[in-house]
Amino acid sequence: MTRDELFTWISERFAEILEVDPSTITNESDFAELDADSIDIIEVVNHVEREFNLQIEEQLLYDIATFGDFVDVVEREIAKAS
Amino acid sequence: MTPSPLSHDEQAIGQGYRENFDRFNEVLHATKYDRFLRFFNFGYAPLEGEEHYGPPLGRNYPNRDSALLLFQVVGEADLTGATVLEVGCGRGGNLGLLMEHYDVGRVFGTDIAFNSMAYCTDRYPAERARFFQADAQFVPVRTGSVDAVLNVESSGCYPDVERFFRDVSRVLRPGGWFLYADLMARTFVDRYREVFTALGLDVVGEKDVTPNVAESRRLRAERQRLAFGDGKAPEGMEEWVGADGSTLNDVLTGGKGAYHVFRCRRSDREADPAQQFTDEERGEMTLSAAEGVELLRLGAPGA
Ligand SMILES: C[S@@+](CC[C@H](N)C(=O)[O-])C[C@H]1O[C@@H](n2cnc3c(N)ncnc32)[C@H](O)[C@@H]1O
Repeated sequence: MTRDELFTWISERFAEILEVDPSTITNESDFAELDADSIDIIEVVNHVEREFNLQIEEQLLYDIATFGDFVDVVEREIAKAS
Repeated sequence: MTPSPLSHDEQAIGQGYRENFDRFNEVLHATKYDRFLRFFNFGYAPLEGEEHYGPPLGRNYPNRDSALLLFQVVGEADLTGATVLEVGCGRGGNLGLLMEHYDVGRVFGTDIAFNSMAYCTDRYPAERARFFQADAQFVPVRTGSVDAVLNVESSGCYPDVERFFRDVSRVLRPGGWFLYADLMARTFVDRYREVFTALGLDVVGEKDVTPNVAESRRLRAERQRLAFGDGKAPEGMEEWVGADGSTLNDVLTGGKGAYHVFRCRRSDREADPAQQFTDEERGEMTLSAAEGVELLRLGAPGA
């Protein structure tokens, strides 16, 4: 899966959780501006973990600011797991 | 086995909380948030214009209000290298933060709920953190052996809180810290201060955090209720999260209750062996602990 494909997949899940139009989510989208709290982030992490059979360390999530940062974390974790 | 010095009613209260918290753990375990849910407390939210206090937290830290509450409780206590015991530690979030941010030594957690102890044993590194199922009224450690005892939002569950305070006084080394916070009847705040002093625990810092705890509930309760039930929170969850209109929220916001932080240090003085709280006060506290058991019963999953 390319980063773009990964981006699309995660942004679709995240858009469902936040009940927003997926096209409003970009790499630069700030979690706070998206009105996403830690519970929303945990929820999307759960989707990602199930889909890609991963376990993402909690600490990796505490400091990310933008949606793009999150996709980067997932991409790295997928690479590590394979 | 030696017979318990607790009365039949007192034992029933402990049993009631054990069942409630074991059940609450089962509910959380079934949610997708389980591994992130490490606190069972009402938290602390900064009021408008208030600056962040305590170690920096990542912006998505999942239990921010609970972390901020712990930072208030620790205050300026220096815990570097300290052996810390948390009584009624629940899922261990407070001890996790101490290990992460305060450079403490070894930590011990005890709680009456078996499921919480199992959760903690699975999640914290055994070289640094140990967990035991135990009743707070009999702290299972040696006299004068710990540098700090932490107790957050748990003592209201104890039918005989004086017995607990005495044991805290016993296990602390001289100079050791008692870091304490709970929701209590406002009329008791002054009495607690007197009792601590009589037991050799000098109050060196305190703060009424009621408005902040109420603010945390105002901002978070509804969201937590949804998360804790994965959208179908069991009946009774309103009390657990202190939702608007719940009995516990009324106590917190209606003036009757005070959420108070006390920071004490163990002096060289012997604890006064005489009973400190009057029979009437003891009766009131036992009754309030018993009422809590009923409030925190969880029903079947809701719709
Ligand atoms: C509101 S929770 C607070 C947990 C933890 N201190 C925190 O801040 O997340 C209260 C805790 O007190 C425990 N508890 C209740 N009665 C107890 C008793 N008699 N002895 C020890 N723990 C008790 C419960 O099992 C529960 O974990």
